Amino acid sequence: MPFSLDAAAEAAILAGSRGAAAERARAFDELFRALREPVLSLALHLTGRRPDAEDALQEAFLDVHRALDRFRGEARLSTWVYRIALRAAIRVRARRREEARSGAGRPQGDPSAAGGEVEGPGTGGEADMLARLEAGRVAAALDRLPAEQRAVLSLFALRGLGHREIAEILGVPEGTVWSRLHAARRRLAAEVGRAPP
Amino acid sequence: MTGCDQQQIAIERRLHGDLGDAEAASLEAHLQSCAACRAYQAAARGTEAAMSEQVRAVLHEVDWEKVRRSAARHRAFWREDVVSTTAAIAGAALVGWWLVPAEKLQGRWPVLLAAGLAAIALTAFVARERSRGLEADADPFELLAAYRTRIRRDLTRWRRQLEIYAILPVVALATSVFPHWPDTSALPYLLGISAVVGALAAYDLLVRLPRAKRALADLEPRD
Repeated sequence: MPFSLDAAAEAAILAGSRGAAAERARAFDELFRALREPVLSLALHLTGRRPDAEDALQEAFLDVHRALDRFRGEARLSTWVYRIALRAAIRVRARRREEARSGAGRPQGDPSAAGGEVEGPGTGGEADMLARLEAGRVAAALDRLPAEQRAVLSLFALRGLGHREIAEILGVPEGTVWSRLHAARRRLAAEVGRAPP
Repeated sequence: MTGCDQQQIAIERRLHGDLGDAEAASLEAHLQSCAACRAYQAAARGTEAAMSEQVRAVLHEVDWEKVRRSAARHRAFWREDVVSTTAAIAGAALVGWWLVPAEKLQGRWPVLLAAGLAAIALTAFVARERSRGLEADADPFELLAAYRTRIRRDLTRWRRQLEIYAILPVVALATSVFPHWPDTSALPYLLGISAVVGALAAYDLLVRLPRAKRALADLEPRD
């Protein structure tokens, strides 16, 4: 899973995004292909449910598509996309909570099932089943964390973004991301029920 | 706070490839004697693995092409308006060229051509401005809802159009030919009109309606 684009790929996409309609479409397709999986991953960890994550993915790339030709390169292109994705995921989650409170919209469901149905013992190996159960437990714990802690954990969980880029995405000083990650990790461990002593 | 905050931050830095060799050696020495930090390290690795597993389980379920299409959808509306107007004007010109005697058109076609081009340009301008107005600073959720409304409206309109397309040749035939039967001089013109109407109906039925239905499905919220 790629997490960011190298400078040459970014430059090519940006050049394409300012070209004719066909070039713009190609540039967007390339950007979408490069970042769709990490953006979905981020959205899944932030929203807690696959349908919400897909809605956030759609809204994020809709925003990217309509603003790409106006992007002036103040940050890296991938940083800009991740910022948009963060905002989209937070917005979708807030909307879903609001709908749940008012009794409208889809049911909240159990975030522990965010990774899909847990396979039965007969449909996969025991290790797979345990991994999915653990994923469900962590997803449920993650769901109880504040948005900023979920965001920092999600960005680091992508395992490919540097801490500088994560700091830029979150809009915090570089040194702050490590302490924020540490605090979030301890809180998550406490929520999972195995807080380090 | 455990008193090991700095070491645990170092664990995070090592886990994410940001720790130098000297610091890593010092951390390793600390880990030998600190059960709390070993537990922290295990928990950090465990939760990251679980988060990766959560993602891995859904990646193959996502219809990426559907998401891509829906995200790229927003530029399509005003272009569709322009294409529809151009097609309608071209159709009208074809019928006119067929039905109106050539001598009546003589000297007028530059004016008609200019009027047709002006109508297309005006449609393009209005459609683009309307599209911009809709998109300016709109929340993506509201924008998607507006797109869905627009497509539903188009679907209703095109279905009504299809009904008219089906009735039109029959009415024309009944009113123009049967009262004067067996004089069938108007028949070629009616057949021509029917062919154009049939082509428009086929385009709606085979291209526009299925495309709009697919676009609507792309834009619906998941679940």
